[in-house]
Amino acid sequence: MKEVPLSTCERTSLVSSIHAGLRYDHRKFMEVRDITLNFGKDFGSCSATLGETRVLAQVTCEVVEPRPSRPNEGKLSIAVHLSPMAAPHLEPGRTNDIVDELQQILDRNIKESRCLDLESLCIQAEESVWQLRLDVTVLNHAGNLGDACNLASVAALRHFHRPDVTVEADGRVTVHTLEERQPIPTFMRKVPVCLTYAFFMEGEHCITVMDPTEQEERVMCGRLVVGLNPHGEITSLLFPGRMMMEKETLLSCIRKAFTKAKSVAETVQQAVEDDLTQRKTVSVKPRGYEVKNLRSDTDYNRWLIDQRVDKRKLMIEENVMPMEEEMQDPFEANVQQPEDSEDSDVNPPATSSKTPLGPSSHKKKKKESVMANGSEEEGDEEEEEVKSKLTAEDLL
Amino acid sequence: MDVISPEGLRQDGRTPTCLRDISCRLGLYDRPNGSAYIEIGNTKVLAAVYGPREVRSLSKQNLDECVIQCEMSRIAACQGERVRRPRDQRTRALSLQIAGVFHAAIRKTKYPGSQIDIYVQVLQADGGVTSACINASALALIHAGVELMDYVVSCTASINKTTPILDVTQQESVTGCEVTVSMLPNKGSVVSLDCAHTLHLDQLDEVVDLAMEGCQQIYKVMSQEVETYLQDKNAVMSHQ
Amino acid sequence: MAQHACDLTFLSRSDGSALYSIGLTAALASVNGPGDVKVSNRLYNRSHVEVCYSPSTGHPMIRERALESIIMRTVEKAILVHLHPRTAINISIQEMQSDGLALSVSVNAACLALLDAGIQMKTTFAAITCCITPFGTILIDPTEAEIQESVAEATFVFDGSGEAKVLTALQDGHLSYEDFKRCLQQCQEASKDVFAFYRGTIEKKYQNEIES
Repeated sequence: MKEVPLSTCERTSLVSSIHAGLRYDHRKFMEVRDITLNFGKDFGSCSATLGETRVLAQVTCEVVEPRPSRPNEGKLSIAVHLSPMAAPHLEPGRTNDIVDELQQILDRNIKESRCLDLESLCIQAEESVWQLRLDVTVLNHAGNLGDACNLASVAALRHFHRPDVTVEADGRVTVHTLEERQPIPTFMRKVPVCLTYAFFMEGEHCITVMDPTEQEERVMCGRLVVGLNPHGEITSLLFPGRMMMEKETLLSCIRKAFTKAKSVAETVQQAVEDDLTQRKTVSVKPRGYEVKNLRSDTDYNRWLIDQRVDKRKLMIEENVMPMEEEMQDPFEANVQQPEDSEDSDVNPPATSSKTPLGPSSHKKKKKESVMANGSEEEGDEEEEEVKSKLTAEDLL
Repeated sequence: MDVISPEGLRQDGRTPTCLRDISCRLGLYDRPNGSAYIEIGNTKVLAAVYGPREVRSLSKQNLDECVIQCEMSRIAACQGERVRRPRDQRTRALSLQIAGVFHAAIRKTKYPGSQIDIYVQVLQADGGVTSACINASALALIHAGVELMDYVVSCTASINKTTPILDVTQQESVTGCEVTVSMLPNKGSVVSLDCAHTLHLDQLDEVVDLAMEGCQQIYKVMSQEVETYLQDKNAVMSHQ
Repeated sequence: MAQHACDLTFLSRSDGSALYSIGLTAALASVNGPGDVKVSNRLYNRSHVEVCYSPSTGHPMIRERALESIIMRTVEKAILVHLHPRTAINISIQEMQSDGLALSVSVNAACLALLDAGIQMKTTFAAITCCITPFGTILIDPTEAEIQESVAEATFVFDGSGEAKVLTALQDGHLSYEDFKRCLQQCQEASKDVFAFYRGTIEKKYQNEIES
């Protein structure tokens, strides 16, 4: 099916709200969406969600001959699959730009960074080694697939246990089933984490946003994918162009990513350990992907709305309204901007005409914020600010 | 085998901050609108540009600006081991990157509704393949007369223990990382940044700076070649 | 019979989706459509139904293609395809976890995903798998271990009308005619529970909407 085109008024509305300091899902610019990790009943199966983006990773193993250039190392192969389930416009099996990029990111972050200890996968040097096969399937594409795939892959690899093997004196190799002997875990020295930044240009000024959603990805000007591990090493960098950037902006983004990476790596490690300890202690076999363990997107959205409503209730009770202050700061910073940039081309590179669409885009924004928030006040403030910005440009 | 010998020289006798020999030529073929060939040490790359021309599939047409597509392929004998398929997942990923670089550099709004195709072929690969591809494509675009914001120059750099090294060969990049930086030399802005293999965060700064210096050196060579070509064709204005 | 569980509207980007699990086997089905279709697949009088089954490991091979064709033939009989000419309906099924019941879980997930998407159907459909042990006992919704021990395995897909007519029947192994009839009867009985479960799930979905 064809991709649903993004209308000019949606595009304008998204870009101008980013310029005004707001994101459609009310996150801060540097805030990453919620991460949840679920594990299947078998070792090495993990489903990761990053907000609404959902990815499934599965690790399996088999005994093969090693590569002649590396006779005492195991092998790791990564395959990424994208089906029409992820987004209606994707066709099954056909090579896709998105798949190529995801494959490159995963290969670099996991395979080439040598984070997984492959020498422990050797059974007999030059004769037999374990080959781990990692299959990553994207279940729902709601933006930022690189991060989500990386999360799921790393968690699945850490969760995976391979069967125990004994090598007899005469060279025969016996592979024990999981019931006979305890399976052996893989050893991952450093946990690679992937973080994506999206860039929006406002004249000469560049706005950086972390963890873009699918709509933000469609209107963004450029993107930076950083793969790093908490030890301070950069495993991969991908800035595929599409816009010019100052070197300093790029380097500062990469530096800031480091603190975020630590917390994400900890989350992954914690989730894997929790699941593994649960398996050891509970005598019943693990249930894995069950309906009550996995959270659907509708439930996730409802939970987000409930959270925001609770937060507002709490603030109203305390008679403090930090929400207004919070929102005023980015607005103050940006209210000066319309005056400066009136002469220059404020329009984002993709659109050509904005003025006749002003009122309809701000109405849509109001409707969105009312539906998402359940409270009118915040909507009015946004509406005011957006209106003021649009009228300044209407004068152009 | 050390990458840098105790005397401070590399395997091929260069100092750590020295570029390999570069030679390039514009206008090899008649049929493509633009073509160029570049040799950076042992890495040899050929690029051809067709365009701006009509878009082949109307679904991809963009009426505000032009569509840029790139296809990169390697010949079977380009590396030590025979390459099984000229176009595989790796070359597709690199093609996307090259196309991305030129999205930033070409003045796309000048050619609305058209398509510019860049075809790159790697004849010999010895480190710095991506940057050679980008340099060759930039020269081919200049030869084709496509409007660019600025030259696009690309260079690789790496780090060996604590010494940053410029323009790494295949052997040198196996042990360390390979950072490829593409920039617009007159504007000083970066259009592409790519890092393969692990690199420490603290070392990133000096490696990127070194790569950008290397880019400026390559820019001198490339612009010299373009001027010589234009003079040969008597295309230079008399006031100069 | 093992525990059936289902979660509707699981994915945000699909028109309809369902996560269905029977015991430890789980599958995720997503439906997109009716939507536009390639010229080569366009049919003048009906909709083009496509099923895509992805295994949890590896690329789709012959086994997956076989499952896709079985599911497509079942689904085509149930959907009112003549209501949407020159369109396509895409059903994608992802195997999340397998404990022997891959086909029946996928078929049931597809049915609920179609209901979630609101695609008009003549009838709902439900799949039941059963196996016969060497002692002659019939087990409904067996686990992988039980299937390995069994003599024969059969899967039936019934339609949602009162008489539970058979839409699709698959059988693997040695089965005498008497045993086959017994299996069919037992599965027909079990299918009533499954249809009741479907009704409960859909009622739950719309109950929430009425309340809010």
